[in-house]
Amino acid sequence: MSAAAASPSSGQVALRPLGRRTLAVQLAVLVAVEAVLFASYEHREAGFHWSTHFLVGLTAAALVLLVWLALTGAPARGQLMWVLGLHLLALFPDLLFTPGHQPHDEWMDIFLGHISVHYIPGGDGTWLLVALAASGAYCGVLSRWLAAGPQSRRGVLFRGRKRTIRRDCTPTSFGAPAEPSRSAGARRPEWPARARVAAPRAGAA
Amino acid sequence: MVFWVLSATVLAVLVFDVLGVPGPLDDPNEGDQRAALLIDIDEARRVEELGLPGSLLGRRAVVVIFDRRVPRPQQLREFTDEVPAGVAVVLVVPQPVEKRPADLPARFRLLTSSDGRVAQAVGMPEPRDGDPPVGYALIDEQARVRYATLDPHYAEHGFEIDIIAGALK
Repeated sequence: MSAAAASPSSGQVALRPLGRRTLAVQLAVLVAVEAVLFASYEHREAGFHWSTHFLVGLTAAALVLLVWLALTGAPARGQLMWVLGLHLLALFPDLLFTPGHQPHDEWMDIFLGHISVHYIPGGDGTWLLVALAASGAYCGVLSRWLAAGPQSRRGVLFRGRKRTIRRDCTPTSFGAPAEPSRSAGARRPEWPARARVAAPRAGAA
Repeated sequence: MVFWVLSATVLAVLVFDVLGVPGPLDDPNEGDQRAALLIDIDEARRVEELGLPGSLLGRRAVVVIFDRRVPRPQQLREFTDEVPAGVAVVLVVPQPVEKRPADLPARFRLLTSSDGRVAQAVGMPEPRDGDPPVGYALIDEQARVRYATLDPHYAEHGFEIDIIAGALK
């Protein structure tokens, strides 16, 4: 992640999900919740169940983020929250088991294959390789996306469209050094002419 | 990418070092151990002729515990506190026990099976070391085996039997 990407004044909405503060908060939440979950599983000597479902959740999150980036041309919001959310989805039947007194059943495979994922040859070692391959692929594509110029940052679904821009920047500031903020007494930059024209007037025929 | 490399390292250490590798008493297929997945009634094997002490089969749900020796009574007491009151408990050991331990909880019925006949009849999995299994099987009131798993630490997991036995009704 470049410094420009992390700066709040870099002006590109598409880069917001990759802001350092945003990612740091998400990482703190992810680590805290996962630590509680891990301790809960270990307390019941079922740590390997935690790791299987975490790795499955991580794989699913990497694939979702990869597809999102490919289709929309911008990273999804809540990058690390996808990992947590999909892990919670994958382990949901375990929440039904202990507090809910509900044994497992085949239909629980709808939760990211909660039953079947334990039968993959190689167990957690295989899932680790799969998860690292998926997350590595996403990180690689994201790095290339960040390194690409603004004109190249377009997805399959939005090919040819400009990305949304914030008021205090122009399309040409994309990827350029950060502009001084308004609070620092800087003059408000010109609103792009294209955006002014494009805004429809209320009640217009 | 630096973040990914750090995360990958932490995960690899966690999976291979902290969680550890399965022990000799564990199931060769981790997924089958403590899966909490009941066997379908249609597929469950019937064991009316198993000959458990007290003619329990077909009258009550029974948890048949397999161990290589009689565990410490304190462990068993903690375990029985969690198993539902209506469920009978039979402890199967491979070596004959000369005298029933005095402090063995009264709820436990003791059975010796040196040839592994009982474990085979209820479909207990074979542990990695190939010796007699350590774990338990749950038999419902119709003498059908609905659950069988290896669990070297079954004495600490009475709550699981409570949940699974509750679903037999």
